[in-house]
Amino acid sequence: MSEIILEAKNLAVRYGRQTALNSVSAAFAAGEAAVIAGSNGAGKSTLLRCMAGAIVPDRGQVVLGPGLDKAKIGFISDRLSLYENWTLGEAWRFHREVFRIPAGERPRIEGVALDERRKIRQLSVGERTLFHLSLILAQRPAVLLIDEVIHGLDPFLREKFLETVIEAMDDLKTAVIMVNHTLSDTSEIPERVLIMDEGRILLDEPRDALMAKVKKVAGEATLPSSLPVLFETASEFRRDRYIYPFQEEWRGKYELKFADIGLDEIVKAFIGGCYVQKRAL
Amino acid sequence: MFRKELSDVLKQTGWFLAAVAVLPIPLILFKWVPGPYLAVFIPVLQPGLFFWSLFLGASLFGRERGQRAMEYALSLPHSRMGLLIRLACPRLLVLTALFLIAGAVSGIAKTGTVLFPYPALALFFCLPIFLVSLSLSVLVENFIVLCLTSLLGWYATGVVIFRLLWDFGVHPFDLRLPSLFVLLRPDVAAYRADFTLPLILLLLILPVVPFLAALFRSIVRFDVRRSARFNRRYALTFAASLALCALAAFGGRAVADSLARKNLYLTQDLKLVEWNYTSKSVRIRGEGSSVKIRVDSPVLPFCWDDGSSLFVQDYDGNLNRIDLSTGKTEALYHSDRKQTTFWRQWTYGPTIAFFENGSRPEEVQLVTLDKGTKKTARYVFTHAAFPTGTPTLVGTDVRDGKRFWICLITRRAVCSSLRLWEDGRAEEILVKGRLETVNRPYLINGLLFFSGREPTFVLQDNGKSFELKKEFPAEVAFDARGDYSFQRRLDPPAVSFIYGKRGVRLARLSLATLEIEDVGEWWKSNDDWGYVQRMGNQSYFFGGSRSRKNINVFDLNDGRMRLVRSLPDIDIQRRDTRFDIYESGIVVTRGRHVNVYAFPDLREVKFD
Repeated sequence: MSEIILEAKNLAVRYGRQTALNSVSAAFAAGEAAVIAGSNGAGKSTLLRCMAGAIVPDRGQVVLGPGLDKAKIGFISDRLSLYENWTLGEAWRFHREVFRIPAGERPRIEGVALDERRKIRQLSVGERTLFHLSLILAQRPAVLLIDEVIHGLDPFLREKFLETVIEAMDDLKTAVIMVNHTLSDTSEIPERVLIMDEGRILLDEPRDALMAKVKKVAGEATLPSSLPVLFETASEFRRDRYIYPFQEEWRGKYELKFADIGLDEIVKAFIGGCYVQKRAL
Repeated sequence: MFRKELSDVLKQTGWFLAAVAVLPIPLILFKWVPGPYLAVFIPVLQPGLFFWSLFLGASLFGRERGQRAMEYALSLPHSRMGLLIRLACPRLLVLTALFLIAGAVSGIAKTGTVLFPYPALALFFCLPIFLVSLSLSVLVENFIVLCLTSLLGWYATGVVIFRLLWDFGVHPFDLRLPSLFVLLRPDVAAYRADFTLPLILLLLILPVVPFLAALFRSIVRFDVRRSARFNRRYALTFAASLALCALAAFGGRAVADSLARKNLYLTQDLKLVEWNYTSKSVRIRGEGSSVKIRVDSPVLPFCWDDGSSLFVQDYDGNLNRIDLSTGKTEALYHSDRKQTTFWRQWTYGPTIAFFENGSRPEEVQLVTLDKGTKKTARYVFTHAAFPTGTPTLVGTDVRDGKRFWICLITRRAVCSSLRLWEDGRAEEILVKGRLETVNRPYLINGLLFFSGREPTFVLQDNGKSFELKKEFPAEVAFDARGDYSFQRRLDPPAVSFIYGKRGVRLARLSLATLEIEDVGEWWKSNDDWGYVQRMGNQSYFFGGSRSRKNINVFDLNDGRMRLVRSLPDIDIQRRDTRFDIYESGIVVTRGRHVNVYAFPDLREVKFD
């Protein structure tokens, strides 16, 4: 594993009486791409805000790796927080001054042209997201924190956004930590998956290992009681059961068809499992 | 970020100034307020500056909140303290510049009534409210609530600190609310506290300290949510600092008391009365005796005696009599603080006279109090000159069975003189047809003298009005201001002469012949000063030189200046040096050293 560039240590955050993070710890390596998924209110955005410095945790701390300072952390929040009354030109000049970015360093996003005289509040969600990304990338960030912004983009802009992020990872060796509910578009990016629920990290696995550990059994076949069923969906026409953690020797042992599934479906199974558990309680 | 913030605050301030500049126009156009533009603009500007200070503090994170940019701002590569400094300093800078410009404009315009001098406005009002609202802006998001909280918070903290400062030593836990006026005029409070620098600083600094301490300690935990932890940290720091400030107020008050210059008064029977403005006791020292007398409320710096009793006023509006032989205290009169704006009293016979406010600005009430029976009488007078200045009594007499008082109203260098009859008439005293004069009037032996920088006039009462008896030629300037100024007794013994300055010489005006006679030469250089003081029938000339730092006292009784005593090493230009003349002697204060010299030979009196 590469050098740790950003580490969350025992973070605890509360919103009034509601616990948002409960002793959350996670370390991220340079150049790593990780996705944080989980149900609504799981604490994903709060974790990202803590790492960006927008929230000071009630307990615990965020430790920056050697040579990393706050100027090298880029954060695109789900609120697309920027000074809305400024024009794009003003926002760029301000950002450049604060982050001491040389004048010609602002990356252009191909296929997207924005008038510098427009005010930020006049931009569409997609334009605003890409503009924000261009500002952040001008910082040449070592860590890029992206909080659920790509769902608001149309397919064209979404592709542009992801291309730009991937380029940054290649060129700058930027660690990308994304919060996402659905991973259908981005399933190829993360090398690591974290799943959160109720302010805790339920799962933190490399993507390939996770995909190997979660399998689906479709149909009405009877499952031995020893198989760990993470989540089950049943309807009039279809019944799916998700097995976790799966062991490869079970393929020969049981006469069942263990199907490989995509990351998006794995995440859905975990989130569904959480809801079932909560209902049972 | 600093530059951007500065430019934004400058733009906002430009709009504020434009609004304040426009505001007087309708007031003048619709004739709601008279006067030239600047005379209206400057009074409007002062409260405007106060509210602008409140706004600038309260809007510290206004842009971030209003434009949904808080997350962006907090994720910039600045520490929380760095962010605070970058947002607060431009505001402070603009505010300072605004005050410098406002002060300069006001100084150049020389018109328009300023409520407060600009340094006092800035230091006592605007800077504190700016810092308080700045501090609370991290806690309260709603702008209107924030402004109201800032005003109330500042006032409440001020009340606590003020009362602790004020009541220490007597009843420190009595947190009575002071009148809004006194609290909002800490400069007045500071005046009441003898202008002692530590007290002024405490009054200025302490109410703001808890807010600043809470801000600086909690800002490191400031984030996009209002966490209970952050609120608790702010509240605990505020409470702890307030407690520390309360302790500092106690301690500071003790230090201020020990540093405060004492007020001194020399009674007619040579007793030295000592007190300071903040304590509730008065010490009376005699030759070989010392008595400490408790009073209900701190004593104002004005007092007098009639040989057997000392008359003092306190801050609660009481006029008290202290028996000089027994030390027994008795309240003679209580004045509602709202009604009393004039603290001076005059005496004649057994009567004490003083002014109180009337029900309208053009109205004053003359109150006469019999110090034996404690009975009071009130006379209401109405005249357009009353709102323009402070009324002063310069004489009283009885004509055709009716008492009248000669009242002087001074506004800057101009005097208006009125005869106030006990039936309520306010009769104008005109000098050559003019009510307003540069010279001051003095009623002596039934004659009214107008003496000062302009030629002297003498008026005589013909029963209905005062008519001109003698007008001195313009080249015969005779300035008797030194002789009869500050006279408390309105029924002095009959005299034969009044003394005055005529060029470089001291002269006297015969009240029998109205001729001026030369007495002696004194004012040889601009460095010299001198004036005459009358002690009953006896007149003395007190003269000194600023460079030689001495004071010479001359007896004037036989028409010439006879040196009684020369007092060396008295530099009246030093702040810690005072030279006060009383009916029985002179008190010289140099720092903590007090020397008393008794008339007529000015021998030094030693007290315990």
